[in-house]
Amino acid sequence: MLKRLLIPMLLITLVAPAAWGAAGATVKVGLAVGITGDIAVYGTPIRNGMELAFKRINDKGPVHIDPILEDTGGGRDGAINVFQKFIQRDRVAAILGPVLSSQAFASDPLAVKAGVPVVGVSNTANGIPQIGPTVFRVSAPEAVQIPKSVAVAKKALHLTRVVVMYDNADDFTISGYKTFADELKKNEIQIADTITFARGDSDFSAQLTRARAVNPQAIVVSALAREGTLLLIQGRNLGITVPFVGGNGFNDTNIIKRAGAAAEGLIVGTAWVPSVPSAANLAFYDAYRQAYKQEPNQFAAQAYAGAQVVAEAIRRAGVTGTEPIQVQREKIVAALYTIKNFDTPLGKIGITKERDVDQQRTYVAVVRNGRFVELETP
Amino acid sequence: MTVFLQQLVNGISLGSVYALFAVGFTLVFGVLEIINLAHPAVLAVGALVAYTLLSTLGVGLPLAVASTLLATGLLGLVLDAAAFRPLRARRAGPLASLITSIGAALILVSLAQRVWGAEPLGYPPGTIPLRFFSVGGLTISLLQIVILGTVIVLVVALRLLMTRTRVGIAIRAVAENPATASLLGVPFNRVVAFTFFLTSALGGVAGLLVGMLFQGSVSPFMGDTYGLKGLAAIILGGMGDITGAMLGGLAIGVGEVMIVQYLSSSYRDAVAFGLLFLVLVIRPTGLLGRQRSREA
Repeated sequence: MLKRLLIPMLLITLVAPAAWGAAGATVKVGLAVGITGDIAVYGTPIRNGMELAFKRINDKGPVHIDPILEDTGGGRDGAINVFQKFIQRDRVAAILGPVLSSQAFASDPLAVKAGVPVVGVSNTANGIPQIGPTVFRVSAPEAVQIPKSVAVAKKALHLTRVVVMYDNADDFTISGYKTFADELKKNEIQIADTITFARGDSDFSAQLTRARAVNPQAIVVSALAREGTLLLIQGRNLGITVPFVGGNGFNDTNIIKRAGAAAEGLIVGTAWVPSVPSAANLAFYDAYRQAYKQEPNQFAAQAYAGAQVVAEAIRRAGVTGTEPIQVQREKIVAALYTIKNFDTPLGKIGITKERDVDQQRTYVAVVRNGRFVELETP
Repeated sequence: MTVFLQQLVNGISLGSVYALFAVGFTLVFGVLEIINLAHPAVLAVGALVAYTLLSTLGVGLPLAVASTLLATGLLGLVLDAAAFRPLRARRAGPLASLITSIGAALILVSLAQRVWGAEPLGYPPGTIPLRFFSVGGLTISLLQIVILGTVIVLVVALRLLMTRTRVGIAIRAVAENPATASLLGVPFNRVVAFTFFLTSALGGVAGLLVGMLFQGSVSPFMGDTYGLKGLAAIILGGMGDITGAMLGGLAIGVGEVMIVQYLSSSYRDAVAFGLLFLVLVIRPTGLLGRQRSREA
């Protein structure tokens, strides 16, 4: 008899305060993250980072946030559906996500129309904040990271002569290639050969042999994750030992998993390394490892930072969740602009007038023993 | 010059895989005069079966090759029984068979996606140890040697089978004239079934080799590229001709690699179809094809 009563009673004690809170003072934030299918390799750490951040923020107060997670999958339509649900049914005050830049281009305009603030945590393509006046991001765009990668790689490897390879069938990799080419020129690094391939190719032996023939000191690549992985593996299979320098497409621990030993020595620009010297990063790193029993990565750190930024804007706006939803949304948008010099796992970050991230320090990472670590320059 | 020879080595290892795939394509055409568009799907299934064997079950490469041969061979028997034999029994034309082969391909690819997922997979590193041999400035990898070796062994075995064994002679007899062969006591349906077994087994191993050559590219959709290249190879070599299909495959492999080296990779796929166009204009029967005399 007692046993039969125990469970409902437990349930009541668990649910009641939560219901209370929801009726009282919580601000609803939508998390639009792809956690099923291919995209899960990015989406899982992003979801973990966001949920961890909100849990810690709610524990500490004073703001109380009710995060609502919805799976967008990897496509544009999924992102649009989730945004519609968030905006109309859940009536959230702000949205974090979606994972891919291509999804953001499709779904963010809906939020702009409804006046809902969106903070992207993983969109690195050019033109994301320009979608509209309520779209922000905390993910450093590729155009900021590549110059740094080139400069640091030049110092560390004493580069004077490289080969550039890029995927000429994808908008992002082409724009990455252009940035690379400009930066190499600025740094007076000679481009011995420029070789293209196409998204979907499987055989890179011809391109790699051609690259090897001119004896470069490094091979600079602008590619997406699949082609990038194949290039690394086939390069090593052909006996190429010079390091690869990659664009943001390589910024994915999954590449290390798939390419194995072939990924050793790969250099990429990244917004986060485990050793970022900030109090917020130390707290994040330990809490993440404890909560998920694994290493966080760049995506988890950016997601955590994005959640922090939204919570901070809610605090500064003084939004409690009791105001009319349109007022909440407007106040949060205004408060997001005021975030400057804010401590996150990414170091100090701020939001610019153009709603883009202002990250004081980005990093250049190299793969050593199957992990991304910061590349030290002599 | 070294670069040229190095690229030639790359082209031959790529071309030999195209060739192995094209041989299966051409053999079915030679015997039944149908284009089996399920053949690319068999290639993908072969590569995926080998993935399970090598990664999940952890068996050695020789056993994986043998098991893949057998598994895709059996799949060939199923394909024939389900998709082609019922049509033959109703005396449907080659066009109907072409359509069922497309249907069979769709079903196979969807099933494969169910079982193995859509994400590209890779064989465990070290399936073939990374080892290089230098010959006069050229670097040849153990992987390339194993691939070329496997293709040569399989093609020689096929040649012997076709010329020295009863079943091989029966296949050729059916290819020459099905009606006469049947009258002379050749069991037509069994010979056709065996042809499917043989060609699918070769296609499956071609998939395994592609998976090794391009680590990390094994997926249910990997057959698409090879379908088009294989078709170009057999038209280039002369429909139904095994040696022609070999040469066609090699020519396309070497041609693609040379285009990347000396022109631009954007023209890569233009090779296969450019060559195809030229051959069709200049020599419509293909490089080694003969005018078929039994068409009257």
